[in-house]
Amino acid sequence: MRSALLLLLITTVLELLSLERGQAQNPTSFTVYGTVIDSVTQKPINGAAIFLREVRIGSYTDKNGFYGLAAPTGQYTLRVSYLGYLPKIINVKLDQNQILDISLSKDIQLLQEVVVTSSNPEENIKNTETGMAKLSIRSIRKIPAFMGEVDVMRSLQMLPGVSSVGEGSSGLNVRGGSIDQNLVLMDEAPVFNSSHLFGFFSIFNPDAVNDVTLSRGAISAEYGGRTSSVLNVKLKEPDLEKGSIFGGVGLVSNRFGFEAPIIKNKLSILLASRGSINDYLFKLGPNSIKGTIANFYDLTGKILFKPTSNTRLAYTSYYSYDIFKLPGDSLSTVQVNASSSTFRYRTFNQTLKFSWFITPKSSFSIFGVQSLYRAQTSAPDSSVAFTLRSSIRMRSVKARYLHATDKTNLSFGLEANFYEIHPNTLQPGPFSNLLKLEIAPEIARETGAYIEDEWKFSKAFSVIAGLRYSFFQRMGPDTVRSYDGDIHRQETVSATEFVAKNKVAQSYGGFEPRLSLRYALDDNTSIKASYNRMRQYVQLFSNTTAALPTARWGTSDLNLKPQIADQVALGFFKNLNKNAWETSVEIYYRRSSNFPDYRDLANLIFSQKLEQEVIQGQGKAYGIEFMARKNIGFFRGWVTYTYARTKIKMDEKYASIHNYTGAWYPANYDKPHTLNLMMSYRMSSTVTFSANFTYSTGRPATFPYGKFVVNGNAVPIYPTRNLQRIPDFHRLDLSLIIDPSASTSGPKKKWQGSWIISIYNVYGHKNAYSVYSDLNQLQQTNSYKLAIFGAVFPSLTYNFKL
Amino acid sequence: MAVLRGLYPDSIMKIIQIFSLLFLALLLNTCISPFNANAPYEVDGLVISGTLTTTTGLQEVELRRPAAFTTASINYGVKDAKVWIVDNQGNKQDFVADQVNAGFYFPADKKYVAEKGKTYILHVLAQDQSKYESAPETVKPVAPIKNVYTEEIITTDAGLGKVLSGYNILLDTEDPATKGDYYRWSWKHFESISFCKEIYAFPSRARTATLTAFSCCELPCWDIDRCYKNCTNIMSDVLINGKSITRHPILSIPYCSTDYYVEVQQRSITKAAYDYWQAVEQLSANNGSIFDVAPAAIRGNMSCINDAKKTAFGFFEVSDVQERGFFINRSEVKNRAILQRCPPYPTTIELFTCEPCRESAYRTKLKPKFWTK
Repeated sequence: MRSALLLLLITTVLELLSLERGQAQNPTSFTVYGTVIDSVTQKPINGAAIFLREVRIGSYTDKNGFYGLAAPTGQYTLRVSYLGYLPKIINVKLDQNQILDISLSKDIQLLQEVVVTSSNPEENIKNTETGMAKLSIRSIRKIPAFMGEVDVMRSLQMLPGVSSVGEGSSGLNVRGGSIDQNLVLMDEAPVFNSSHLFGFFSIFNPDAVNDVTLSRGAISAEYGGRTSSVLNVKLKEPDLEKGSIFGGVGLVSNRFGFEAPIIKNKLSILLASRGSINDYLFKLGPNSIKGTIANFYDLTGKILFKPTSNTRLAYTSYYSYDIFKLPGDSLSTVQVNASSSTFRYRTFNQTLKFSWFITPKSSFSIFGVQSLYRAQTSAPDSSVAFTLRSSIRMRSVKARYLHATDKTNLSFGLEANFYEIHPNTLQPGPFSNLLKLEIAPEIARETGAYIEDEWKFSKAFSVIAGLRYSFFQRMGPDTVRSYDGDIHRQETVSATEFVAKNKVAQSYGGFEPRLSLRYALDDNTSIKASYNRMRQYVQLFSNTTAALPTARWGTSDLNLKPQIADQVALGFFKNLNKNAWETSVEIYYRRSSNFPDYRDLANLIFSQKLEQEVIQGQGKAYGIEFMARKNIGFFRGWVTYTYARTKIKMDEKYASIHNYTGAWYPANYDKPHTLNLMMSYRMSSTVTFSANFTYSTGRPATFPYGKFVVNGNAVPIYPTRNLQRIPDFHRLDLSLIIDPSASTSGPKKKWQGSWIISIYNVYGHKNAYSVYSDLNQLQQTNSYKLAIFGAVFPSLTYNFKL
Repeated sequence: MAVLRGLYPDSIMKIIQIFSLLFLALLLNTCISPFNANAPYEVDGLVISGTLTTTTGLQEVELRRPAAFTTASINYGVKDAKVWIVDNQGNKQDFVADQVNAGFYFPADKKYVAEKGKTYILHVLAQDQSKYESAPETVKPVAPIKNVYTEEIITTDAGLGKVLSGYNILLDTEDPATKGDYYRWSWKHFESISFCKEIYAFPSRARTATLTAFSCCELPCWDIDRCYKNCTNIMSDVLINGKSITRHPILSIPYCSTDYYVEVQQRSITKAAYDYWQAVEQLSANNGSIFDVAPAAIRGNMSCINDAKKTAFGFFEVSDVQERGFFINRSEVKNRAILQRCPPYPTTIELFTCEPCRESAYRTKLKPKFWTK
C-alpha cells in the first residue's frame, strides 16, 4: 500500500517537473513500476538505478526495491543497474500502465572491485556475538594459496586464535581446542576429517563454497556436541536463472563444474568436481619417493527446488576420496610389521533441507543429514597381509523455527543424532596368518533442544541468551566394565556387564547456557562479552602429535566421561574512518574438564577396552587477540596478533600409567605468539597483487636427553613433556591474479579466463616441519630439522567461467 | 595429464607443464639441516638388562650407564657391582663380572639354568651401595620350533640382471590354543676362524692404516656374532591365537660362498616383558615426526629399593627357550650370484705371533651346540 502511495507521489512529482520545464505534456502518459530483486536471494535491491534512455528519465529503487517511472506512450529502452550486479536492458512498449519486476544477477567480476566483505562493514560493531569471523570465498581467493590450491582451512589460519600443529597437518586448533573439538559443518552436515592428503589441502572445493563462518567466542545455542568452535561452510546456491560452466587447471588439482537451471526460477542444479594429478610429480622424483601415490578427488553437488515463492527444498551431496601410499614404511603402531601400507579414506555427506518462509519475519526449516567417514589401511605382504577398516556414521534430524521482529530474534529447535562407529576391523589377506579382529561397534544417540532469543533493548544495548539441553545415550550391544579405583587396567576390572541391543548402557545430559552481551559506546564502538558452556560426547582419540586420517573416533561411555568446556570472552570493537578500518581486541579464558590424554604408549588402534588407554584430565586456554582490518579502497588487508596459551594437566593419581602427572604441561598445539599480515592491492581493473606474512612460535616438542641401548635398539630418555620447542615459524607468500575479463573496457567475452600466479614461502625459509633425531653412526650430528615446505613453491593456476 | 588435453588450449597446458618441472626442481632441494636440541652430557641412572633362560650359555646380566642422546656418546659398562639371582625356593646364584667386556656378568656356575614354573628375582648391589631388585618373574614354557629354513633373496643388479644376493632365515611354529603367549626370537652366528687378530699397518706412503695381516690362532676358535641393531623381534598371539606362525623372519644374511652356521632361539616371555620390548621398539622408532606417539617413560621391572630417586632402566627377562642350530649351504647356487660379500681374507700371515683364543661374549673355544662338522 505504502509503495502504491509512493508511486503516486513519484508520478506526480515527475509530472510536475515536466510541466515546469514547459514541455508539451502528452495527455497519454503511462507509468511503468515494479520491484528490483536479487536473482539468487530474491531479496529487494535498495538504490538500484532505473533509466529510460530515450526520454532520459531516471529514478532509484526504495528500500523495498520499488521503483516507478512515468513517460509518454512510446517504445523505450529501460536500463537497470546496481553496483555489483550485471546491468539489464529491457525494451518496454509503454501504451498502458504496467508492472515490470526485474531481477538482477550478481556480476562476479565487478564484485571483486566493489564489495570487500560479504557482510556490512559495521556489522562487527552491531552484532552481539564475540569471536565471530566470516570469510567469503572471494576474500579467501585473494589469500596467496599453497601450490595454487585455494584452501578454506588454511585461510582460516590467518585469523586470530586459529592455528594448527604444523603446515600440512590436518585440522584446526581454535582457542586452545583440539581438532575434534570443532564442529565443522558443510551445509549442516558434520565433517569428520576436513583434510585431503593428511592435511596438505582441505576437502572443500572452492568452486562450490559460498562463505565460511567461524564462531570461536559466542556460539549459538543451536549448535552443540563440540566444545571449542563451530565452523560453518556454506555451499553456493545453484543459480536459478542462468547456467554456467566453470573450472580450472592447476599444479595439484583440476576442477570442473557447472550450474544449470532445469526449470527457470524453480529448479536448478550445481555440480563441482576436483581431482588431483600429483602422481606424475613423484614419478619424476628420486627413488625414495618414486613409489609414492598421493591422490584425491571430490564431488560436490547441490539441487535447489523452489516450488512456491515461500518454500524451498535443497539437497546437498558431497563425496571425497583420498589414497596415500608410502613407498616403504612399517606401521609399528598396528602390531604388524609390514613393508608398505596404503591409506585410503573417504567422506560421504548428504543433507536434505526444507525451508518454509511462513511470513517475511518467520521461518521454519527441517533437515535430515547423513555424514559418513571411512578410513582404511592395507598392507600387501602375503603372510601378514591385512586390511584395517574403520568408519563413523552420523544420521541426524533437525528442526528449527525462527521469528524476527525489530526488537527480538527468537529461535528454537530440536535435534536428534544417531552415531554408529566401527572402530577397527582387521581383515587378514588371503594367505595371511593373522586372525580376524573386530572391535565391537559403538552405537549412541544424542538429542538436543534449544531456545535462544536476541533482545535489542536499545540502539546501544543488546543481549542474546540461549539455553541448550543435550542428552546422550550410549546404547547396547556393549560390554560395560566397572573398575576398582581410578586407574583403569585389566587388573582393576571389578565387574563386567553385557548390555543388550537397544538397551541404554550409559546416559549423560546437561544444560548448556550461552550468553552474549553488547553495549555500543557510540556508532563506531562497542563492548561485548560472552559466556558459553559446551558438552562433547563424541571425540577423536589420537596419541600422535598430528592426528592420522585413521585415528579412532569414540563415544562417551560409563568410564569415558563427556568433555565439558566453559569459555568467557570479552571484546572491544572500534571502527575508524567511516568503517574503512575495523579494529578489535578480544580476550578469552577457557576451561575444560575430562580432556583426554593417554597412558604411556597407549594402544589405541586395537584396544577393545578404550578406557584402559585413555586418561581424562583438565585443560585450560587463555589468550588475547588483536585485529585491524582495512575494508575499503584499492589497498586492503588485515593484521592480527595473538597471544595464546593452552595447557593440560593430568591428576597425580595416574602417576603409575602416565609419565607427566600433577603439573600443567603445554598442549602439542600451544603456540604463544602469532602474527598474521594479509594485504591485497588492486593495481588495475584486471590485476590484483596480494601478499601474506605469518609468524608464530614453534610448536612444543619433547627432545630426548638420554639414551640406552637394549637389544640393539637405542631407547630415548625424555624430560618433562613439551617443554622444548621447534624453531619459530615464519613465511611470506605472494600472488598475482590476472583477470582480463574483469576489464571494464572492451566488449564482454563469453569465456572468462583468469591466471593466478602464486609464490609460497618467497624467501625460501626452511621452516621446521619437525625436528627429528637420527643416531646415524656415519654422521656426527644427531638432531635434524626437517622442512617439508622448505623451498620456494611457485605455482600457476588457470580458472575459467563461461 | 593426457586426459586433460583437449579440455584446455595447448598453450595453457604447456605453461602448466613448464611450471611443474620448475616446481619439481625446487621440491628436490634438500630440506634437512642439523638442529641443536641442547642435549646434556651426563645422564643419571643405571640400565640393568638381565636374561635368564632354561638353556645353558644364555644367562647374562649387563649393567650400563645411560648416555647423552648423541651419536658419539657411549653407554659405559658398570664394573664392580655385585649381581645375583634368587629363586622362589631361596636358591641363590652369584654372577661374576666378565674380565674382557666391562658391564657383562655371567653365572659363576656355567651350567646354571632356570627351571620352568619357578620364579626368579634379580639383585644388583652397585658400588655406591644402592640396591636394585627386579619384580619376580616366572618361567613359562614355550612351544617347540617346527621348522627353520632359508629362502633366497633375488635382486636385480644393474650389470648382472637377476641375481642371488642373500638369504632370509625364516621360522615356523605352532601357537598353543591358550591365549596370552608372547614370543621373542634371537639368534647367534658362529664363524669358525683361523686368524685371531687383524694387524693394521701403514704401507709406504699411505696415510691411513690398512689391514695388512692376520695373526694365527690357537684352534679351534669361533667368533660369536649377534644382532647389534634393532634386534627386538617379538610377537603376541593376540592376533594369531592357536594358529601356526609361519615364515616368521629371523634374520637376513648376505651371499658368500662359505657355509653359514646360526643358532636360533625361540623364547617365551611374559606380558610385562612383551610390553617392555614393544615400548623399546616404539620409542626407538620415535624420531620427532608429527606422527610420533607421545613421549613416554619406559617402565622396566627393575627398581632401586633403597633410594627412590635413583632411576633403573632395563628389564630382567626369564624365559623357556627352544633352540635350533644349523648350517646354511651357500656354496651350491642354482641362480647366478651377486659378487660375494665375505669376511676379509688375509693377504699375509704373521705365523710367529700366535694369539690364544680368549673366551668372551664375542669369541669361544667351545664347539657350538649344533656344530656337526
